[in-house]
Amino acid sequence: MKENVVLLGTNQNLVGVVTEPDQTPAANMPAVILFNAGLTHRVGPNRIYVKLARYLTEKGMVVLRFDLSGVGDSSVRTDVTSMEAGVMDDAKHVMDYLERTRGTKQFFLMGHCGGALTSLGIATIDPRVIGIVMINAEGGDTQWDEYDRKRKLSAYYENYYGRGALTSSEKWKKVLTGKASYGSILRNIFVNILWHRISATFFKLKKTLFAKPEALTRPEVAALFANIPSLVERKTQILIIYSQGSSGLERTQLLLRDVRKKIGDSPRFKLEVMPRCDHTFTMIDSQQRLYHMIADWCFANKPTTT
Amino acid sequence: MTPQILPGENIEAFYFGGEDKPLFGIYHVPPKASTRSHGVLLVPSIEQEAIRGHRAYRQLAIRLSRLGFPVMKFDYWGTGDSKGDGAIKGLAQWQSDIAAAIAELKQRSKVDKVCLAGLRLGAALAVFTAEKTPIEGLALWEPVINGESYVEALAGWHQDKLRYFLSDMPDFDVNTQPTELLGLTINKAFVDDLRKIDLLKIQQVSAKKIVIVEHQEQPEVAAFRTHLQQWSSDIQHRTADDPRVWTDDPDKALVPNQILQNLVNWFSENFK
Repeated sequence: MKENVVLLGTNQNLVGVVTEPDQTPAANMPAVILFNAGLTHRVGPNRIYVKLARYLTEKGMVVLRFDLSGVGDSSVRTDVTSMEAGVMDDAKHVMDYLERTRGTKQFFLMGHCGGALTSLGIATIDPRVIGIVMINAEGGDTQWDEYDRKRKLSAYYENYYGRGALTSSEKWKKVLTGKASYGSILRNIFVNILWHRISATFFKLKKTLFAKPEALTRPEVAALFANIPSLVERKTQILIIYSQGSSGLERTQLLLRDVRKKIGDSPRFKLEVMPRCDHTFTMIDSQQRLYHMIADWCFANKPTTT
Repeated sequence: MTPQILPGENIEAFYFGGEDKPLFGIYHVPPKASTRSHGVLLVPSIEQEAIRGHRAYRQLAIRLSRLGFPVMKFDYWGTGDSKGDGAIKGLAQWQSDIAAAIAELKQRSKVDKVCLAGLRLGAALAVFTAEKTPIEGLALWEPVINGESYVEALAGWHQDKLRYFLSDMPDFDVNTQPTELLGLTINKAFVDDLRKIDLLKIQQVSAKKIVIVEHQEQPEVAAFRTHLQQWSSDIQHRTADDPRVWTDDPDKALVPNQILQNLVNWFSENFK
C-alpha cells in the first residue's frame, strides 16, 4: 500500500493524503473521497478516516482524505465566494486531480456528520459521483441538537440513579446523614430526567405529527434530502448509516417519509442502523464493523464496466 | 495561476522517519528575510486530545511562523496520518518519534537549536525529551504532571463519552480492559507507561527557559515549577481561562487566543 501527501487546489491550499494499492486498481473501481466530519481535520473523529482509507485500500481501492478550505491544515480561500460554492469547488479540484493522475472517472463520496451532508450536496451537482455513504448525518440544526441533548441527559441520569446511585450503600449513607447535595439530586431528577424527557417527547411528537417536510429541519438540509429521489433516478447508490439511538436517525427518518414515497423500495437506497455505536465510533469494535459495512457496500455497488 | 499563500501558511506536508515507520509531518516555512535561529517543534498529546487540539496547534504554528520561527507539527506512530494501525505498545515509540521529528525539523530548517511546545501529554513527553537531549526552550501547556490521575481522567472520559450516547454501557475499567482508550488501540504496557509519568521525579532538564501556561493554577503544577528551578533559571508561569479545547467539541471551532498569544509572546521575547 502506498500513502502520499498531496497539496491540491488552485492555491495548493488543500492538504490531502492519498492511499492506493501497490497495483493499479481495476478500471471499473471508483475512487473514494472522504469529506471532513464537521470541523474535525482529515483524520476524522477517532481517526476513523485514516483506518477506513487503509482498509479500503487493502481491498484494492484508491482513497483520498483531505481538508476543505479553512478546515484542518488547509488554508482559507483567498477568493470571494460563498461557503457552499467553495466546498463544491474544492471537491471538483480533488475529483479532477484523481481523474487526471489516476484516470478515475467515477467516485464514491463519504463523510461523517457534516461530511455526510457535504457528500450528498456534491453528488447532486457532479455526475461523476456514482455513490455516497452518509455516516451519522447530524448537526447544523439547533432545535434537533437541543432535543438530542435533553434526550441523552435524561437517559444518562436515569441510568446513573437507576443503576449506580440507588444501589450504592455509600451514596445512601450520604443521603441519610445529610452529606448529599439535595439540590443537585432534586435538579437531576426533576429537570434532567423528568422535564427533559417530557420536553423531548413533546418536540418529537410535534415534528412527527404536524411538521411539513420543509419545517422538519433547516431548509438547506431538507432541500438536500429532497434531492435523493433524483439521485436514485440518476442511478447513484446511496448508503445512509446511523449509530443506534442517534437523533440524526430520527430526523432523517422523518425527512425520508416523502423520499420513500418517490423511490419506493429501490435497491439503490439503503439505510443501516448500527447497534452499540456512539456518534463518533469510539469503540474499536464499532469502528471495525463500520469499515466492513462500507467495504461490502463498495464492492456490491461498483460498476460492472467503466 | 500563481498560488496566493497567506503569511504563516506556507507549508510543506510529508512523511518522514524512514520506510519502516513513516510519520506524518507539516513544516511551516518562515519568511526567508526574518527566519530565526531557533526552530519550534509542536509535540502532540494523546490522540483524542490531539484531534480536538489540532486547530489550536495549527494556529500556534501559523503565528510563530509569521514571526520567523521554523515550526513543525507531526503525528506519533499509530496516530493521526502517521503509519501504524496496531496497538500502541508503550511511550518509548512516541519518545523516539519526537527525536525523529527534531532531526527532521533541523534538517528542513537548517537551524540547530530547537524548542519544544506541547499540550497535556505532549508537554510531559517534551519534558522527558529535554531530560535527555539538548533543548533550548520548553513551552508547556497544561502539562500532565501525574500519570495515575491522567489515566483515571482519560478512562472516566471514555466511559462518560459512551454513556452519554449509550446509557446502558457497562462500567469501563482500563485496568481489566487495557485494549482501547478513547478510540485508540492500546495495550497494558501503554497504560503502565502513562501511569508511570511523574514530572516531579525528573532528574534534570536541559532547557534554561521554560514557560508553563495553565487555565487555572494547580498545586501540582506549582510543585513542578519549584522542582524545575534546580536546573532552569528562567521559568515563567501564565494563566488564562480560555476554553479547554483538548476536551471540547471540535465543531465549536474554539481557539484559545490568550493562551496562544502568551506562548507566541514568550517565544518571540526569548528566542532570536
